[in-house]
Amino acid sequence: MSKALARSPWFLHYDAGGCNGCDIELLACLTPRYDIERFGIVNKGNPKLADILLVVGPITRKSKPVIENLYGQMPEPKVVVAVGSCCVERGIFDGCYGVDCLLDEIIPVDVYIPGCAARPGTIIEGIKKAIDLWRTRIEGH
Amino acid sequence: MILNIVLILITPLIGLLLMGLDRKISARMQNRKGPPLAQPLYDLIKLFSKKEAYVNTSTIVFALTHLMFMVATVVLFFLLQDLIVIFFTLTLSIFFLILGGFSTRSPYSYLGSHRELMQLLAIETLFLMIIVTIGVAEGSFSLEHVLAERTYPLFFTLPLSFAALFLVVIVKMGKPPFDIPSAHSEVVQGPYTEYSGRWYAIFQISKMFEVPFFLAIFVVFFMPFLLVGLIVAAFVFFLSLLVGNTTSRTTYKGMLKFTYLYGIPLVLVNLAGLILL
Repeated sequence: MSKALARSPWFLHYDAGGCNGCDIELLACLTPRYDIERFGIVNKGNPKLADILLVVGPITRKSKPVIENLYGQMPEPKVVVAVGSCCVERGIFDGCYGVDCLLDEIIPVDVYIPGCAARPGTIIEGIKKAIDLWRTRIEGH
Repeated sequence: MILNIVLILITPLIGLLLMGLDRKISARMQNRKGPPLAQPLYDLIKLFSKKEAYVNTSTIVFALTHLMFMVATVVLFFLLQDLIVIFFTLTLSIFFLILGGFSTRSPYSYLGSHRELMQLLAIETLFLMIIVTIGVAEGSFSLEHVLAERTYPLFFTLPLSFAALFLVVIVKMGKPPFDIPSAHSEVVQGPYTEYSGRWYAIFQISKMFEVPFFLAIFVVFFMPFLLVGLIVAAFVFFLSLLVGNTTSRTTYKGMLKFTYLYGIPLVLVNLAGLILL
């Protein structure tokens, strides 16, 4: 039973800003070459059905309230993953006028995936860590 | 009688298996490895382990009524009841799904329900006409009467109705090109958008009854030869996956044209043939 628990992680990805590079690398994970659906991972564009929130890019002033809203709509248990250098520590966009704050200043972040752009392999490893964390949260729920 | 009850009980299991096969075969068609066969079961377990949340109580009442009538459809079908009654319970079930979508003020849910209503308009007329041809050919709408002491399959007298039924199922499967009500990139999850956790699982469970039900109607068309019917049903299922993976989404007008332009003439020609010959 506990084996069957965390085998259906559905993710929601949100592009907070930046260059779209990590966004494309993230969606590349769904292609036949990487195929993360073999772990049961599906991209559901709906926060109410999502278990993992993947945020890409630096948090701009416009995207900050959207992320708070999306995070609030996701039912527990849930995990947040920051993908790419921009989301982890602002990266190349550090000091830009539109960049507001870091992701972990507004919502609790569980896994950080570095890289500019983050490679699909790294992203899959990060999602794997997020799933392990998510499993412990389901068991504790 | 015992056989009928066993059939009703294994229907959701067959549905679960079909949903798993659906994802596995689709993945293989896209040159992917795909999720394990038990993935729909894992999805259900996951959905039930999520924290409960809903918009308002009426959405839940409609979701449960939707499931109730879908189960009633399958029960009536395997107890060999009247085809018209089966048709009405099926329509009621979809009607409550639409009401559930309308009872929240979310634009995606609202738009999705409108599209679901369009789908209802596109296929229910055709489906009812197919049932009427069965009634005209056999002199009764009772499945028990239709299936009693058959010597030749229904397919021989109703080949064009059979083709029309195939059109109905292609639309009803909710796959491209007719995934209009729940088009991911247009209306998120359509009428299901505002449901989460176990209340979304209700619709997955209702799918577990719906898909085997539609495939079972194909078996009825070949009835004294059960094995032929099962092979045809499996072939129809595979064909719907093939169509789903090789086409892109059409508009609701395309869907209406598809069923009304090709489906209704097919049934009418079959009906005229039955009456004249």
